[in-house]
Amino acid sequence: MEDQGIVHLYVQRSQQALIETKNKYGAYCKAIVRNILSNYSDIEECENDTYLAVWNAIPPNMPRKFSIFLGRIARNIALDKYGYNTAKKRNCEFNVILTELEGCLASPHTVETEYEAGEVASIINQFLYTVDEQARNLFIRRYWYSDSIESISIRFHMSSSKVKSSLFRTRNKLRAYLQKEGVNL
Amino acid sequence: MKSEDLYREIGLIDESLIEAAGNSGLKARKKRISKKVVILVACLALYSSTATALLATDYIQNQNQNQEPYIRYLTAESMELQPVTHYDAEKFLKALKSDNNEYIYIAINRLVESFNDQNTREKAIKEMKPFLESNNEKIADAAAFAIDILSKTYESPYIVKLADGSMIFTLFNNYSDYGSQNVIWRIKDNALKPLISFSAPSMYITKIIPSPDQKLIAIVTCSNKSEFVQIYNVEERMISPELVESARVKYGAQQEIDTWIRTDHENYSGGINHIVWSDNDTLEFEGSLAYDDTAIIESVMVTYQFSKKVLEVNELNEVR
Repeated sequence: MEDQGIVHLYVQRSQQALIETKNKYGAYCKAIVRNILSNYSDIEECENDTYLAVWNAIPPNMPRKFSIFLGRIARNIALDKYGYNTAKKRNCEFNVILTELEGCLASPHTVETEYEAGEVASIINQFLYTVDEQARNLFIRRYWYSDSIESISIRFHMSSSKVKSSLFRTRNKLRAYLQKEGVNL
Repeated sequence: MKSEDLYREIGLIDESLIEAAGNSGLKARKKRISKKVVILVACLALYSSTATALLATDYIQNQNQNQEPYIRYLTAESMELQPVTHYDAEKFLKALKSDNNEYIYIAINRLVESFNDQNTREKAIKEMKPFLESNNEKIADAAAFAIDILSKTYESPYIVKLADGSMIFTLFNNYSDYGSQNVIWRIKDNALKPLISFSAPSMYITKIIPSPDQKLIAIVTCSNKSEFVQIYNVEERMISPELVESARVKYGAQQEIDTWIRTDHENYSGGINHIVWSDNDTLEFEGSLAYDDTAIIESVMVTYQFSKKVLEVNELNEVR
């Protein structure tokens, strides 16, 4: 079923919407959540919570790209769950991703500024348009889809070290860009 | 800001960037796999003894098993694996010879789906003709209807003719006390296709009422607890909200009655009576709306203007 049709089912409050979403995007949601969480029951729970959140969000929201809308929700729910989990239950691979991102943050001695949700995102967005396509796609695969270095290297037919060094350079550029824009994170 | 917060902010970047990254890098991966296979095949050619070939095949199989599967989009067909079950008219033709009336009734109705295949259609008509004389009224009616469709005479009262020359109908007409099969079929340009079916709790189609200009249809569906009404513009593929539940919510708000919505979407409302088109665009019907687990039943007149999406709900006594 086309995405538009699925959204229409949500608007109609038809429970078929949930079945169609699971059929079409169940594996996609699971893949996003699995990259953040490692516990199987947590993954299942997050997937179901995602469908419920979409059910509650449409209407009034009318997503333009349903898959991205769904992915964003799955990602946020998984991240909440990750924060809630104890250190033992955390996903080591995702820990690495967060540690990498720490490199983009200012040093602990800098005074942080409070930002509205989405404010920093729009600056990151501007930044991503300034980097070349390959580096941008690698960055998004790593920090939006939370793909492992290995799967990125297979996907882009690159060696792991090349992927790592590209990500490292992009993170450094992002840090410099944020500083230039006066963002103190 | 923590790295979790930064990760969350990255979640809000442009959809087009995320989509582009989602589709990126795959072609290169495919190329790499094919190169591997070519090299492997070349090696096999060099050592072309039977034993080596067998070992190599085993190796390829192991490689495939260890490779992480990449499925871009799981379709219903791909999940079926092989062989996919297709409509099998022969099975239903054979069932006509059964001594089980239920089988015969199902086979007659399912054989209508052979409409698009001329040979099977002619064969089905021939095989079904004896059932016109059946003592079982349901089977005789089903055969008359199926033959009417397959022989393209289209005289059955179950057929609804639309302004664009197409025709719609249900199969298994009134098979239960509640109604007909939950699928509307359409013949357009001499081809039969399923048009629409309704999700739970709508289990049966009870009525299809065309507007005077035959451009819209009002469809009444039901479960064994509730009734539902929707208006469908077949040509433009637009459908109204479900009118009984919409009326229940609206009337509940007007009268300040607590209106809870059940998770199974059964509203225990219905009693649809006097359903008529007052003009080409406006449908009217009487209904009973249930509140507080049927402790309160309100008789109302519902009017819905399709093009303007205007719903009016009034107490029936006031209207009279």
